[in-house]
Amino acid sequence: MKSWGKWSKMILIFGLVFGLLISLNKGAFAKDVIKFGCAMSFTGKKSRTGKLYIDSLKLAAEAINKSGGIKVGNKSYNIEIKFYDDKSDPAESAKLIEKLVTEDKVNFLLGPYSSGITIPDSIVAQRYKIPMVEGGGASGKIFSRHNPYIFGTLPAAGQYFRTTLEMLLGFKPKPKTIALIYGDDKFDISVAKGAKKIAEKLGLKVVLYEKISEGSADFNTILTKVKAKAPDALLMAGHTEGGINLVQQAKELNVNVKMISLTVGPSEADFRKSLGKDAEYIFGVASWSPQMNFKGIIFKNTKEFVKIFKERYKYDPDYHNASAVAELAVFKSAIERAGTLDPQKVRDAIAKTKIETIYGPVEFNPNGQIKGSSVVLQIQGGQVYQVYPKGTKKPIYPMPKWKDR
Amino acid sequence: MAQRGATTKKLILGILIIAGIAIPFFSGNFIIRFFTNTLMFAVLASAWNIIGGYTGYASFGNVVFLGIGAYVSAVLMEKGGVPFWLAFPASGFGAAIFAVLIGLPVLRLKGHYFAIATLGVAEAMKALVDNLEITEGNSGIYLPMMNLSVKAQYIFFYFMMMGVLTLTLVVTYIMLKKKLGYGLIAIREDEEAANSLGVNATLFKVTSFALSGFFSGLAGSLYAFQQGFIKPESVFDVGVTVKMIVMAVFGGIGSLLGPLLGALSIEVISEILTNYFLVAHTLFFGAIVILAIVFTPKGIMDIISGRKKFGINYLLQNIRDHRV
Amino acid sequence: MLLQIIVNGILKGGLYALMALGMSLIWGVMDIINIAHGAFIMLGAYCTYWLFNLWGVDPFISLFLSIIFMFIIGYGIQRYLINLVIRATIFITLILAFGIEIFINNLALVMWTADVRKVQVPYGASNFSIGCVTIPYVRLGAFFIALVIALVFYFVLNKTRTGRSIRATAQDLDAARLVGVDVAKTYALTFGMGVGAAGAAGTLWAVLFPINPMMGGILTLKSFVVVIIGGLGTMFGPIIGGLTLGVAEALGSNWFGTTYENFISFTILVLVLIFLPKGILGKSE
Repeated sequence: MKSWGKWSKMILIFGLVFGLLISLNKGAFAKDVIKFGCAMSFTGKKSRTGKLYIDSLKLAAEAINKSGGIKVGNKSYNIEIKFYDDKSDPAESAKLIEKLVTEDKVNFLLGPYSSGITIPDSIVAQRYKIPMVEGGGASGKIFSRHNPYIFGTLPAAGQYFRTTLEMLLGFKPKPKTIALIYGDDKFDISVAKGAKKIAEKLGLKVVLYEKISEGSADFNTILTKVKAKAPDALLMAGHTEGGINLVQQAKELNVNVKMISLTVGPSEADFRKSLGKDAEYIFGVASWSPQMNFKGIIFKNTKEFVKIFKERYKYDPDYHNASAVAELAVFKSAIERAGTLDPQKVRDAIAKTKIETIYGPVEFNPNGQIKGSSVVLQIQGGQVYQVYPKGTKKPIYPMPKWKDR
Repeated sequence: MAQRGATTKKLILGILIIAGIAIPFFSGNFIIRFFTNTLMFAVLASAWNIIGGYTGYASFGNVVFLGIGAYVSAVLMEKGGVPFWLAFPASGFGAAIFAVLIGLPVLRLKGHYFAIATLGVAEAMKALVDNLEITEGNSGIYLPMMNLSVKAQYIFFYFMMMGVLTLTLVVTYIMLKKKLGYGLIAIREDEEAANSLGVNATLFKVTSFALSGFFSGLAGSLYAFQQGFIKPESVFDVGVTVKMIVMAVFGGIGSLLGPLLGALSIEVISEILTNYFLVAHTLFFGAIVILAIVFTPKGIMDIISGRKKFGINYLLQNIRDHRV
Repeated sequence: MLLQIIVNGILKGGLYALMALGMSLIWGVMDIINIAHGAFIMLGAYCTYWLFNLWGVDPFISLFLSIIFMFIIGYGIQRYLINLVIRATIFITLILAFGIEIFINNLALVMWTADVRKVQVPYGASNFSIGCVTIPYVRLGAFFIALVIALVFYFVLNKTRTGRSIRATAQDLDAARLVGVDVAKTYALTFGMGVGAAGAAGTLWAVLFPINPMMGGILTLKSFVVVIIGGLGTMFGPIIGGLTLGVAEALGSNWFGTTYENFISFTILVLVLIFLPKGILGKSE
C-alpha cells in the first residue's frame, strides 16, 4: 500500500502543475479599460531595441490616461498594456500573441520588434481578426500578403536612401561613385535594391554592391574591397552594431571615403556613445528625428515629447521611440472615430487614418504600410542633426580623412 | 521493487494519454498551442534519445533535421504548390535521407568529435539556407495558410504532433524489442565488441540516425505549417538542440518515456517562470538546470522508477557518486 | 589587395587562437566541452569595460585584472560546482555548462541591460602602413598577446610542478591520485586558467568590437571550430587552428562573399573532423 502514497503524490503534482498553468492565464484587468497586448523582446538578441519600444509605449500609455483616456461614444476608457517577453524568438512570440488574445482577452494588439518576429505575429492577428499596429518592422514582406489586420508605421524600405542620394547630387565636388553594402535580412535587401535603382537613375555609378551576414562583426574583407574601389560615398543598410563595427574598422584599416551613410545607428544614443569622436560626420537615415516639429494627439508636440522622454529615461529618443508613440496614437484616433471597441470596425477606421502625430503625419497605403519618406541625419559635434531636406544644420561633405582628425 | 517501478510507469503513461486526449477539448487555444509546442519538444527529445541515448552518439546537431523538415515543407508548399499531406511525409524522408548522407562519414567519429561534427553540420546548413535563393535566404519564407477555423486548426496541429510523438515512441519501443535495439545498445556499451559479435555497426548506427532524423523532420514540417512563416535562425537554432538534450537528460537518457517527461516538465517550469518574471525568468531557469544536474543527474525516470528511495540521501548520493 | 586580406585574416586568427586556448585546455585535461566559454569571454569584456569607464583603467592594464578576476571565478565554479559532477557522463558536464551559460548571460542582462557598449580608447583604431598593407595597432597587439599567453601556458604546463600535476591528471586520473596529486584542486586550477584566458580574450574583444550580454554564443561556436582544426592536447593547436580559420574566412569571404563566412568555417570543421579527426597538430594514438 506504500506505493499508493507515491501514486497519489504523482497525481497531486500533475494536478497542481496543470492547475497552476491554467490559473496563471486569467489576467486581472480593471473594468472600463481598453486592453492592449504586446509581446516584446525583453531578453535575447533583439532586447536592446525592444527596450526602446517598451519605454515609449509605457510613457505614451501614461500620457493617454493622464489626459482623460480614450473616448468611446461618450464614455472615457483608460488603457492598459499587457507585456510579455518573447525572448527574441518568433515561435515564442506567436505563442504569446495567442495567449494575449485567448487568455488575457486583449482588445487590440501592438507589434513586436523586427520584421522576422512581426510576420508570425501578424499571422496570429489575422487568424483572430484583431488589428495589430506595429512600429518595429519595415520589411515589405510583412505587407506582401495583404493581411488586412496589420498596419506598420515605418516607411517602405525601398525608398529609404532616396533622400540621401538626392542630397548627394547637390554636393561639390559632385560625387560620381558609390559603394552599397547591405545586411542579408529582408529589410536591408529591400533598402539596397531600391537604393541601387535610384542611384543608377540619378547617374551615380554603383562600384560595389555586396551582401554581409546580419550578425557578422568582421568587416575587414569588405572594407578592403571598398578601399580598392575607392568610391566617393559608402552606404550601408544594416543594424546598429554593424554600423559601429563598420566605422571603427574603416578607421582601423584607414579606409577614407568622402561620406559614410548608414540606415539604423546614427540616430541612436548607443551608437554615438560607442564610437565617441569617430561617429562625427556619419550620415544616417530615419523616418523621424527629434528636431522635427509636429503637433501630436498624445503629446502636445514633438518638442514636448522629447523633453518628457529625456527627463524620464535619460537618453535621447530616436525614431523607434517615436514610431511606438505613433502606434498608440493611431489606435486612439481610430477607436474614437469608430466609436466602438469592435475589432472589425476599429480596423476599418485604422485603414482610413489621416492624422498628425509627434512622429509626423500618418496615413496608410492599401497594403497597410505607412505613406512616408525619410530624412537625412548627420552627427556633428556629438549631436544628431537633421541636414536634409531643410535641416537645422547644413551637411558637411566631404568628411575629413581619418589621419587629419 | 522492479514490479512497482513498472506499475508506476504504466500509471504515468495512462495519466498522460488521458490528459493528452482531453486537453484540447477543455482548454483555450493558447493552452492547445502551448502543449503542441511541448509535444514538439517531446518528439525532438525522444528522437534525439534514439541516437544519443540508446546508441550513445551525442548528436549536437539534431536541430538540423527540424530545420530541413521545416524548409522541405515550406519550399514544396509555397514554391511547388504541393499539398500538406504530401509535403509532410516528404519532410520526414528528406530529413532521413540527409541523416544517411551525413551519417555515413560523420558516424565514424566518436564521443566529443561526433558531437562537434554534427554541430558543424547544423551550423553549415543554417549558413547555406541563409544564402540560397529557393529558400528566400535569411529573410524567411511564408507558408500557405489553412482554411479552417482557428480552433479547428489548432486541434489539428495538436493531434498531428501527438501522432508523430506516438509514432516515435511506438517505433522506438518496437525497435528495442528487435535485433536493432539490442545492436544499438551493444554499440553504446562497446562498439568493437559489438562489431566482433557480428553486429553491422555502420548499418545500425546509420539506421538509428535516420530514424532520429525522420521523426524530427516530421515535427519540423508541422512546426513550419502552424507557424506560417519561418527563418533559418529560428529553425536551425543551436539552442533548440541544447534544449532537447537538456530535456532528455532531465527526464532520463536511454529510457522510453524519459524525454517526454523531461520535455513536459521543462516547458511547464519555463512557462511558469516566464509568467512571474518578465526579464529574470531565464536566469532562474539556468539556476534550476544547474541544481537539477548536480542533484538528480539520472533524471526524473530514475526517481519515479522507485528503485531507490527518494530523499535528501538520494540527492547527496548522486554527488558522492560523481565528485572528485 | 589579396595581401591585405591575408594580413586581416592572420590578425583575426590571433584573436580566435586566444579565444580557443582556454577551451582547448579545459577540454583536453578534463574532457569538458565548456559551452559557457563565450559567457566567460563576455564577462571578461564587461570587466574591462567597467574598469575603463568607471576608473579609466587602460584595457592593456585591465587585461591582467580581468585575467585574475576570471581566474578566481573559474576556480570557484570548478571547485564548488563542476567538481561535484565531473565523474558522471559527458552529457552531465555539458548540460551543467549550459546551465552556467544561461545563468551568467541572463545575470549580465539583468544587471547591465542589453545596451550595446564599447571601450573607447583614444588609440582605438590607429594604424600604420607597410607598403599597401594597413595594420591596426590594437589588432597587432591582440595578436601578440595571444602568442604570449600561449607561451605562458606552455611554460606553466611543462616547467612547473602545477603543470606536471595537470598533465598527469589529464593522462591518468587514478595514477595521478596515487602519487599524491590533489585532483580537485588541480581541476580547479585548470578551469581557472582556461577561464582566465577567456577573460583576456574578452578584454581584447571589447577593445575591437561592441559588446553586449548575448555576444558569447557565436564565440563559443568559433572556439569549437578552432580547437578542432588545431587538434586537442597541444598548446599550439589553437594557434594553428586560429590562424587557419582566420585566413580561410578572410579568403573565403573575399571570393564567395561575406555571407558565406559561417558556411566556410563550419564546412571546414566537418571536413577536418572527417579527414583529420585529430586536427592539424593532434597527436595520433
